[in-house]
Amino acid sequence: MTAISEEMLLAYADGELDEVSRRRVEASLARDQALAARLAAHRSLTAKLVESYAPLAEAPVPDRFAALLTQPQKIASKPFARRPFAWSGLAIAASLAFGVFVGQELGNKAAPLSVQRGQLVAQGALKEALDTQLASNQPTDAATRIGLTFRAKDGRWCRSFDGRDVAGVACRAGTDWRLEQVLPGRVSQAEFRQASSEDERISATVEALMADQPADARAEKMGLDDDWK
Amino acid sequence: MAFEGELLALVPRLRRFAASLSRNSADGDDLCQAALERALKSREQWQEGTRLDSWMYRIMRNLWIDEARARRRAAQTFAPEEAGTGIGHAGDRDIEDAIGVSDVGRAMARLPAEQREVIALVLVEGLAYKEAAAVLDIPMGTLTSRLVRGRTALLELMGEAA
Repeated sequence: MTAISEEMLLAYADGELDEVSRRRVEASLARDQALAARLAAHRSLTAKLVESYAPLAEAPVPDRFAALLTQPQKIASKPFARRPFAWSGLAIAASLAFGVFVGQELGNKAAPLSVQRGQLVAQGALKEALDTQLASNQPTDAATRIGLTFRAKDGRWCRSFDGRDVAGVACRAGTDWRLEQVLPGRVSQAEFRQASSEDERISATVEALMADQPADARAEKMGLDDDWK
Repeated sequence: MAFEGELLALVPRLRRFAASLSRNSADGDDLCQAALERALKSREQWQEGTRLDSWMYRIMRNLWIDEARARRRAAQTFAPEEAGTGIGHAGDRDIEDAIGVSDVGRAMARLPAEQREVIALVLVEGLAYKEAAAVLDIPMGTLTSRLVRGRTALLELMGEAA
């Protein structure tokens, strides 16, 4: 039997192998307990790495960064600046990114996005669509269209979407959908380039996040039935 | 206009990347700040339609390398004095905060820079090999062999067989 190199084993663990090599590694893993133990050790190491740095990516964005990124736009004018506890840098950034609508509607239940603990998450109709809409079975005139559904390398379910106001990629975080990428939606196309699930920026994000393949209709349905856990 | 917004949306991931390169999250945030400032200054170098996150990772990584070089020079300059007072090298004193004191943080801090950065990009940030190799501007073979060496070293440092 051919030995599986450490590089190949790790590429397997990282989801970087083509089908043929993947099968070869799997066949060896089934026979070779020492190899399987090495894979387990590497997987546990990866999990530890992810876990120890995750809190930073989940923590609220410190004010110093929010200030840095909002300052150049001289946005610190009326409503936000007077209410220090109500404004969030992320909210301002979001309004920069999407024009007036989020600025006016963030904090409004009708807005597609809100800031929870410093994270941009989907809410309202967008959350509803991400929670319940199947790409394999969605009305052609759906307000939000789900693009691809897939598992990220860290195991989270993620979905790309495009809608009237925003398009992007969101990944499951608890019961929320956290935005990994946000782009202006269809309505903003006069001002910005139109974003859709075919948008190369979205494809690039999907490709970067995705562990393996997009979910097919059956896998998507199973994800939904399992509450995207 | 969208540029700042997209940067801000990336900040959580950038802080994580910065922390995994640095010895602790305070140093990481300084690095993150420097990278954001650099990005704002050189925004016209970013091409719309290309990956902003890859561009930012590259900026941050290059700043970190520069910083590490400067530190090494400083350490060489001040080495006799430090040895005299028995303080040890600067890095050890910095290991204080949550990430720094964890086994993982300590082990990461002991890896050579070239291994730490591939681990940070591929395992912590979850980039595909191809993307990580592009950020670092190294061939795929170099990336994969650094990944093997870095992970093997981490497993040894963390003293675990499983």
